[in-house]
Amino acid sequence: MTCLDKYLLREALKSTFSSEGYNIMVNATKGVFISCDIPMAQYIINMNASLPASDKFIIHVLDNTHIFVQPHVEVMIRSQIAKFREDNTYVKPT
Amino acid sequence: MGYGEKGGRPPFKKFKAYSKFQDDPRKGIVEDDDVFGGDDAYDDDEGKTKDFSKLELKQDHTNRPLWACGNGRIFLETFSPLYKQAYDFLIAIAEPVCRPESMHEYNLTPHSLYAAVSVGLETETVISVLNKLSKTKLPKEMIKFIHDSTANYGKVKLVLKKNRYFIESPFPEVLKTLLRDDTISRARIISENVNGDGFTISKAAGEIEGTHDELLNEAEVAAVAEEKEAHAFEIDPSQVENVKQRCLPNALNYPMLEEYDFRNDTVNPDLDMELKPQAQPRPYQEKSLSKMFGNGRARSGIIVLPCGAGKSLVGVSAACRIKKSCLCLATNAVSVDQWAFQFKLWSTIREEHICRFTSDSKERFRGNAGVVVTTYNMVAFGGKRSEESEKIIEEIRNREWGLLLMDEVHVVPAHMFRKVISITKSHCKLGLTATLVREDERITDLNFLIGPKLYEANWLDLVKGGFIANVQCAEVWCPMTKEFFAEYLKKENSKKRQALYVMNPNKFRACEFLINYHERARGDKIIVFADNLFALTEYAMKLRKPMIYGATSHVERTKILQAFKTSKDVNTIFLSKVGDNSIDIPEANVIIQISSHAGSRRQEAQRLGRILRAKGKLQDRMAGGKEEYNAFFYSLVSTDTQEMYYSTKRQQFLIDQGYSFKVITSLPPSDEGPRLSYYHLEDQLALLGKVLSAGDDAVGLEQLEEDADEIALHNARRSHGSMSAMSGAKGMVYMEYSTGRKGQGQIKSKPKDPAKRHFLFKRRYGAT
Repeated sequence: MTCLDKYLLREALKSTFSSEGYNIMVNATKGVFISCDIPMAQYIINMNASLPASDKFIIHVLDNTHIFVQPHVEVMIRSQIAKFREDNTYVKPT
Repeated sequence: MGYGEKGGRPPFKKFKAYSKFQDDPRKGIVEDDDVFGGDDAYDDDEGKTKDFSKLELKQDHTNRPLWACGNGRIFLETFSPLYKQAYDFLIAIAEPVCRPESMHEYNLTPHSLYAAVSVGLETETVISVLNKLSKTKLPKEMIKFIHDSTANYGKVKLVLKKNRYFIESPFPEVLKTLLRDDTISRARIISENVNGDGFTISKAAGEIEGTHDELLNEAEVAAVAEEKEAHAFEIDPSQVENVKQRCLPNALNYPMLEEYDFRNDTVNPDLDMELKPQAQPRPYQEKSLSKMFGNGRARSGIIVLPCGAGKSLVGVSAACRIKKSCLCLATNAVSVDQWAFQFKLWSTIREEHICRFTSDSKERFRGNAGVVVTTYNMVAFGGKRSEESEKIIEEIRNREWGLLLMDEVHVVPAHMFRKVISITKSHCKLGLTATLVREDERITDLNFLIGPKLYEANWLDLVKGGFIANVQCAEVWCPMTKEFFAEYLKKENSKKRQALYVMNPNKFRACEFLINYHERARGDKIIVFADNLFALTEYAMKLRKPMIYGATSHVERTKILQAFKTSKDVNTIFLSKVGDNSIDIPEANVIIQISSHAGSRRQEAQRLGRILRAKGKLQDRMAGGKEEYNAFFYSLVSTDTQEMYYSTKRQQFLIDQGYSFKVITSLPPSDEGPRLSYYHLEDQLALLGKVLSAGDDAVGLEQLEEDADEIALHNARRSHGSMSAMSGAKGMVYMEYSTGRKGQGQIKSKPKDPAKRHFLFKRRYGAT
């Protein structure tokens, strides 16, 4: 079962070292965290790869079952996966 | 193990409204209602089309076994005490749609009623018995439908006399109506001695013409028969099939009866053959024969029995009753041998009266009557023949056959039938099959090519009776591995998709586990089926098991099969699709299917048929016996791939017969680990490399020159049939892959329009 668990990565790190004089630049990116099974992760990666460079949406592939993507593609991914699954499902003609 | 049930779908499904039901007030809200406003709309829609809550229940409805609905559907409760009688009746008048364990669904169609009339049921009997059995008052639509469809039946008759075909009817008006049709008037042969109407008139002696309501009692029948004049005209033998088609309910609606009064046939010589005393037809075999020989004459038609239920005994018994020359057609040389053997086994026919006619053995019978067993191809073959076979064919052509016995009628394409039927003249045709389904919907052609379906056995009843094995069907879900799925998705690999999902390491491991389990823990005999040759070889080599495919020589085949039958060391064999139909392996009781031919329902059923022959003691097999299941059918499927689509489609036929498929998701068990192959990633990657580096044609489907044909099966490459086959000149429709393309086409053309989706799925889409 594919499931897309959405988490908003909030601004995570604020520099705690400022008093020491370190100055670490932290880049926080807002996105959607996807958790799914192995084949679906591959499906999403493949989908990403087939798009032109400007439309690529994967920010980071975390491991086999977790991907971090741009926030606006969630609906698109859901519908693509639904379509893919539909194509592999036989419905008896009535 | 994770088990879930699927299949055995609920008996209520959308129905197709007949055009005859135009006056049905519900019609307006039937399925073509595409307007949809929100989720609830479907529920209403689904509800209303099948809302028969207004039907009036009879007082004693609990004692009656069936529900008859205005749309022609009939639902039968199998737990009713009247089930047996009701079943026998329904199978005669309606088409079975779906037969799960406790509730059967039937459909009244014009064809099924035609079949009912041709086995001798009268309109009024149909209605009154149906009314007796029904829990509700019979809906008016249904009564009207039965009247409409049966009104004209039995008025026209097709008769074969001295090798000429005549259309006969006691009503000259009916013949005139028929002749107004272009096809029929063109087919007519005008003979010389005609009277005013142009019809030859003959006194019908002995034979009874007329509609059923005239058959009041014996005395009257005799009187009627004497007075009745049969009007007839002759038609061109090559046009017989077209004429029959024009007369079917969907055209002129004067379906022709074809009966053969073999007892009074003095023209054709009798053949001396009887059933041997030890041949005891089982109850359902008797029943199917009684449908064929209902009133002492032989009717043409099709008898449907599952594989392993003894179709050949039915065929032989029919030939023994008719006792005339019989032409038996089989699909390939192996079955020809088997049929000849069955004739000798069950009947007292003398050795010299039975002969086989194949590319290898061209025997000719002596005497003036006999049984000839041959293949469809041998008869339909259009090219140049050897002198010897030309002579035999000439003999077949000139003879008037009492019975044309056709095995596996579902595999033979219509054009081949046409050829066969135009060449051979027979009084009566009997078709035998286990699976009356074809992916190309040509199955309805059989209605006019052979005749109506006379009998169809219920698989589950035969299982309960212990006549066929009780099979546990399972679909094993194997998830794709990461690397294989990544390749599967790539566009450039579209031709290798099948190879990729078949070679999925998880599937291999599941297969290996099942083989080990059944070989060691249960001591079973296993057949592994793979359509994909690349996979077949890889699996067989890796697991070190023998395999048989199209190119395996006859000698090697025999050797392997012999070893499988007798040796304790050979418990598993790998078969390509050459094993689907004809290889007879009664020992096997487990089937593992690793790849299949797209969405072919017939292949699935035929493969299941390999293990249906009942084994062990009868009392063990009966309900409550020692073993609940004595045969196993596994279908391994890679999830998230096309295979899921095909797999579900393939199962439909068996599901309609009442089988249910268990879904197994956790094979092999995780503790098997490195004991099975492809545990390590390196091995898996090496396998993937192999698949990817193989040529596109190497990983495709096995393409036999002629599927299930003597040439591929019988090491007879020298036969003259093969040249035209090589050039693709014959039997193309017959081959599996042409229908497969259609399956793939379907996947693309599947309705994407949300309004056309199944209501369960509409809902899912509505939500996203």
